Amino acid sequence: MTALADPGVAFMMDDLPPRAGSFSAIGCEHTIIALRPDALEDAVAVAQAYLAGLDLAASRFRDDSELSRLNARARTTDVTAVLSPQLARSLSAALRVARLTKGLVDPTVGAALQANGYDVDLDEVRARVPRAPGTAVPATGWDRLLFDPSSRLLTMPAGTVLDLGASAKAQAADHLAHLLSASLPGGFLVNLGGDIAVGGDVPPGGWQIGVEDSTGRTLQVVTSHGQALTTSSTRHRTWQTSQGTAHHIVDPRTGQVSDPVWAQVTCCAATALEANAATTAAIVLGEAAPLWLASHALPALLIPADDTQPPVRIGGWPAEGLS
Amino acid sequence: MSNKVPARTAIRRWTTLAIATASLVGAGVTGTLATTAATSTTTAASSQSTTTTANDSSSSSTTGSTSSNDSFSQVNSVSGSTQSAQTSTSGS
Repeated sequence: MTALADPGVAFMMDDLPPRAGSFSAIGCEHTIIALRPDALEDAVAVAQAYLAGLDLAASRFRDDSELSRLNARARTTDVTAVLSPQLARSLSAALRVARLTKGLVDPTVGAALQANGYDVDLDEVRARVPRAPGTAVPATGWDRLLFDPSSRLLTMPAGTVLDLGASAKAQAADHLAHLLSASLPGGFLVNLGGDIAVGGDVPPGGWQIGVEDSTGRTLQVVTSHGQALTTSSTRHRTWQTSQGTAHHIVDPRTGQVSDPVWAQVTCCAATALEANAATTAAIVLGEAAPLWLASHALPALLIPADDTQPPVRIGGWPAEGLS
Repeated sequence: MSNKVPARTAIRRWTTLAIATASLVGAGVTGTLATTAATSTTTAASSQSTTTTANDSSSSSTTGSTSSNDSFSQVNSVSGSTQSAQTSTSGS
């Protein structure tokens, strides 16, 4: 279902306000904003088609996806395969995130997620009786994957369970922002489940982006003049286990759900992929996150899980309007 | 009226500025957390710039572990706004 609406912004372009279109796909809500209203319907159609292809290639939750078939083969033997262009693009992005974070975000974390109970679509996980988490399974290691992007040839060891959930959506936001701005008039903001990338024309005054908490309260509105923006949260994508609430960000070094030191972390970066790499790594790092983000000069806003503690701003993140 | 700034042009345009301001922006950390030792006052400039440098070496990687010299691109922070939000990020 697609909903088209005026986003209610305070600027005009070519005498017409920008338009926003929203739709659901890959388990999330997405929004496309087009500065040229006449470009919106095509932009939404392109995004929907792209995400449908991404789901078929990289979903861990459908048996017929290319990724699921690779993971199934790897249960008993080493696997060598030529990937589709779509899956190759997603895996290249995931490996880049692993390099950027030195393995704090690792695409071989799939078995760890399964052991923690996130083995099927989240709606199904939430609907069933809470289970005890299984034995923690550290990631098998992104550096044990052999992948050549030019030939798209992947070799992965037996026992590997790939999960590209930490990066595929952000990479898709970047790809769509670039694709739309290269093929349609005007400028675009692509918001895939909170992973935001922009491309093409920038509206006068910039793109106005709210940072919301898990209750939907706007903590701050910030202006992007081209920066991508993402948020990782320990309060979204949660489920109950017999030992309490679990969330979806696992420390690949231990295989355990990351300590929820932060309710959420928001970063801006040159791309949504880099921003998402940073926010996910920050959740994994917990108390060490501020220094790590600062060492990479990554502007960030960290909201402590302990709501008696104030927000932490890194790398020039603005204080203006922060509630 | 269009403000279109092609990404590659923006990258070139702001590379010099990024280098010049890097020492000023540095790693400002504000706010406190009981368990976080580092707190200082941010010195970020209120620049309107965007992307500065790009370091994507993914296209050259041949294994998961090679090309380990990859690094985050440098970017100036977003700025605070008093306008209404057009969209929002709330985490996934």
